[in-house]
Amino acid sequence: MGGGFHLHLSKKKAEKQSIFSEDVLDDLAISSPLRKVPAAQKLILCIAATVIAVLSPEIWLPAFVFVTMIFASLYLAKVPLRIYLSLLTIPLAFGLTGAVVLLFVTGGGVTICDFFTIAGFHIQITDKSLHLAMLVLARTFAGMCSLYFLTVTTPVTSLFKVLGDMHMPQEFIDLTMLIYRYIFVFIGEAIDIHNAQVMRGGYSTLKDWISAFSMLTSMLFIRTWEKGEAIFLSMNSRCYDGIMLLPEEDTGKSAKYAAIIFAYLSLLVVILALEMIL
Amino acid sequence: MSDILEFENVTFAYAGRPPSLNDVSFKIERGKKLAIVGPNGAGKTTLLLMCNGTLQPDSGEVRVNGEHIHYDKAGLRKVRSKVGLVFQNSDSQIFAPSVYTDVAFGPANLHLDAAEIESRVHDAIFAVGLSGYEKRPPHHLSGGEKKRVAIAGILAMKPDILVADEPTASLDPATAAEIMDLLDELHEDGTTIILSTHDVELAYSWADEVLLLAGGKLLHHGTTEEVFTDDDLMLKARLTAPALLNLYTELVKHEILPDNRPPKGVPEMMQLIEGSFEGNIGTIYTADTDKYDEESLRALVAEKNCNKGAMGTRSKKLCFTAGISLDYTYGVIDKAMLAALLGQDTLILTCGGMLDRVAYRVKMFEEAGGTAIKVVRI
Repeated sequence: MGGGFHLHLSKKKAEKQSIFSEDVLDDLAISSPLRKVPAAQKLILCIAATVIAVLSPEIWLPAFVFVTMIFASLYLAKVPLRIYLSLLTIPLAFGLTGAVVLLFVTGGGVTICDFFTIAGFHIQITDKSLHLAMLVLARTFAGMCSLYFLTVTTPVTSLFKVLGDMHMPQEFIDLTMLIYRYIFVFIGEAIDIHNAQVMRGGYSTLKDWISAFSMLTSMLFIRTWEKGEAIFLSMNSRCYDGIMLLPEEDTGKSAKYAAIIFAYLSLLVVILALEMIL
Repeated sequence: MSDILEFENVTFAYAGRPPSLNDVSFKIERGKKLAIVGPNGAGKTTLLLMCNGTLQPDSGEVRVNGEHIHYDKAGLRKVRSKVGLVFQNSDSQIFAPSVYTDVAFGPANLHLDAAEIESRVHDAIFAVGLSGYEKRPPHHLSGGEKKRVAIAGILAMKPDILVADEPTASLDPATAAEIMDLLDELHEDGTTIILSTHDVELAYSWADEVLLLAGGKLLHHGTTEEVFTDDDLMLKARLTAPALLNLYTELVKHEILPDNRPPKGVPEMMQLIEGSFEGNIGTIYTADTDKYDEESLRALVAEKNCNKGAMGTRSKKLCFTAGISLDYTYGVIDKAMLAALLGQDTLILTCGGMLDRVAYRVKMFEEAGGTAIKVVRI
């Protein structure tokens, strides 16, 4: 029912290449030139780089991580700059808010700039608070850019195999796969319901907005339930006996990529050690 | 021929509702193409869900290959490996994250060994013409492609009967025609096919037999001509006759055409109107595309230099890659016959069992009093 219509909608959106259309990230990952790098290696790279960046007491290492990750995403993974920038606005918004609060609220060290005092409480920037704010911002960026590198180069389908290799419980992986598949179906449903509501004047006043939105969510819940039953029926019709296969991936020469990743991570550890010593 | 599916006095009601199926009995022979036709709410889907044991009749019995269905785990597994069900909504049917894993779902759950799973999945994906799509996630497929994946998922289980619930619903006409072509191909390979529809045109042109259902009752089980020319039946089932038959019955009333010869297709209608065709009758050439590569196929097409049509996913794909532009891509045999009646030759590029289908359809036309058309296999 209306399957073609969802698809049509989402296709249209993808042409506009905004991160707010549901399958842009998925598209990027599937057509990524780095897709052939084994998913497990990219996952290790992402997690290790994030952990090392967070361990660093100085901003230089996280700064190095996010600069290299941005470089890798833009030049190696060939992500269009506009999409990458719009992706970055999300951590930028959160990171900056947090950093601003830290900048004024934490203290210690030498005062750089004292703005005003409320009831004996100084609103000021000190060298320590500046350092902390910068450090938090750099760490946030390092973590987010590493995660984005994974996101834009690795289709979710190839991560299922990694979960399997990590001996996660089969039930957990099966659920993850079903959830991944149906996220897109339900986004389509939500777009359809939303369109139907807007067409008939929903969301025009605040009161309308609340009632229309509550209708959308409750409808979506019911549809989810029905879809769940339909899937169960369909699985049983195909003799479901507890087996779901994991998607296979062809990967390139894994030793080569492993060596590059190992070299990069070693470099990070060396920088970390230098920071600790100096 | 043996009966592959049998319903005996089947009655079924969903809890707290009037019966959805009321004392339904019929038998289907192996190798038939059956359309279950009826208006919305006639009980079509309920009937289909009974074929693979999803629903259990309140009274009466369903038999597959002459054995009744045992409604326990082992029995249901057995019947579901014989009867494959393609749901109306492909999004409910395709639940795995990629085409390959979805098609492999059935064979894997039948506990086949890895090599067998791989070969079956490969064959099924090839048969529906989606080779190269193995790694795609389903939300990157069009409506028609999803339907093909859904069919491939059932094919990989090698069922004796393929049951499809409204296979062409919400597909555009060309895609719908391609799906029907695909079902014909599978039928040629020996699968019995049952589909439900309220599209009388589709049922009329495609099916051997029709099961007319309305209000949970079986109104009639017979040949398509029998069912669709009976005005009373059509009225009871809230259906309209196919346009071709409508025209025919009107022409009969005006005594322009003879009674009792309802046309199966447009060529038969032409024959009825024209009486007999004088002069030059064209030839239908058929070529097995499995024996050609792109180069030799282009050479063949250039040599024949006549109307060209292709049937079957494999053949169409080869024509596409060879850059051959086709005059007919669906309803190919009928169009070739009409061209022949105009004195033109047609080359039909196809493969496998579809080759025999061309000869069979032309013979059928001749037996119904049509002009003899020569079919030459190259």
